Amino acid sequence: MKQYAAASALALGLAACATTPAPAATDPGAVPDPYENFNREMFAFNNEVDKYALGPAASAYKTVTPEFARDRVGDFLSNLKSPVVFANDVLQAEPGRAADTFYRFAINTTVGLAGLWDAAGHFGIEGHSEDFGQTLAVWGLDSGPYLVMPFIGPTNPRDLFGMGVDRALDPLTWTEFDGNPNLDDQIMAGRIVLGGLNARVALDDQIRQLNEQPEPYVALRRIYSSQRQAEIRNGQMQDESELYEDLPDFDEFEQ
Amino acid sequence: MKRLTSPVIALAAFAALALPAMADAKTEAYVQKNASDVLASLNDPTLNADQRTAKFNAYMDQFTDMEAVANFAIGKYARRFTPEDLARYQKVFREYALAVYESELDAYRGEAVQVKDSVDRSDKDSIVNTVIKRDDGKDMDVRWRVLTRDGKYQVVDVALNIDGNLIWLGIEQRAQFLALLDRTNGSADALIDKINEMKRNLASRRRQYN
Repeated sequence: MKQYAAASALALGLAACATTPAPAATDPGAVPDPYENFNREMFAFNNEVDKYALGPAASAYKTVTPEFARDRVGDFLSNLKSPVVFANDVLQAEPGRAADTFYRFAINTTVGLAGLWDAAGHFGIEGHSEDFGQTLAVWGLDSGPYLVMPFIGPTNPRDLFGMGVDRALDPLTWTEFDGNPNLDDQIMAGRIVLGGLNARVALDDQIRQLNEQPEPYVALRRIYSSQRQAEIRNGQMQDESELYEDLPDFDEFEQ
Repeated sequence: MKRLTSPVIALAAFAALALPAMADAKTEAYVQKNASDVLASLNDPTLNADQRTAKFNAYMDQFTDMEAVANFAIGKYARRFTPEDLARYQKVFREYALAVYESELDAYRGEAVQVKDSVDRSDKDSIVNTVIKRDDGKDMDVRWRVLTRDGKYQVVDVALNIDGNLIWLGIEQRAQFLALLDRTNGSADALIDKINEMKRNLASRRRQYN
């Protein structure tokens, strides 16, 4: 747990000393980025990791596993996250979504053979994700400045702190196996590695498209931030009266 | 008298509600017809690939003002570029944008565009909300920003609703172009080279899939 506590402390420290300039009025999607130089270095570092390690590893993983197996891994890992999603549903006072998560976990763990199949999805109970970063946002906490962290990628102090809390909320973090004290750490490592490879394969197309953009760093900063906002609203759009208010004037710079 | 006032107020309120919708009906019809024509052009089996592209481009030229969209995408730099640089940039931007739209809209070819409603930002600036139905059930929520300029309707930006995240393609493009130009001291060449590179990537990908 030590490293999560350290990351959380760092995150809170950064939040406290950050000054966030207001975004330009002509660009509703602008994201304050006071640590841009640091973030760009981390972004470049992550790109190198992706190019020389994660990308090739994922492509090898894709070669040796059929899509069917990757789907099972994906379903299994996402079922393992259910307790954390459930806790956050409850903390956000969303009884309907909490019930969905509860039933999904019950059905998928049993009928879905230990989570290998998303059986609940077939019965029409669709899954959703939640995390403590989103819970803090629902509680009214501001995200703080945009951050790019090594290996983790785009985040912000609130979401980084949330990751630590989610780890603490996860029953598997606290499970000890009799006679094999290292097994829990091995399971954790396996989850991270498999989850990372699975996610990388699924995102292959998006990552290629992102890297072809004129400014991948800016593109990711904007898309991460707006996507996060949409997740916090549980996929609901803003009110239509505000939705179009901030659109830039089109002819502002006409000759 | 008192009895009469409430129906009158109700009627006035109703009329006030109905009026903007009436004003929008023409804009909505414009998007409905033209967007459907554009998607239909991608699905015309009597044409070969080059002819389809030509027809698609012709529709797009009627539907949008590519030059204005190009200028929007570089913001303040539209005034700072030399006329020659601006013309060169507008040319590659037009080629790139048409290729991107053709490739992106290809997933919706032959599908019907259904107008849901619209919102007026001003009397010359409206957003038309549409749904593009797809056979696989993945209906797409697409929003069109339509300006009235010199008495003509023109679509200037398109937004996609991706899981509650509304992404305006032109605004996203502009944010990146401006970042690139800010970083390169406003170099038209750097931007044009980049757009050409994106064009090449797009073309090679299309060859791969076709």
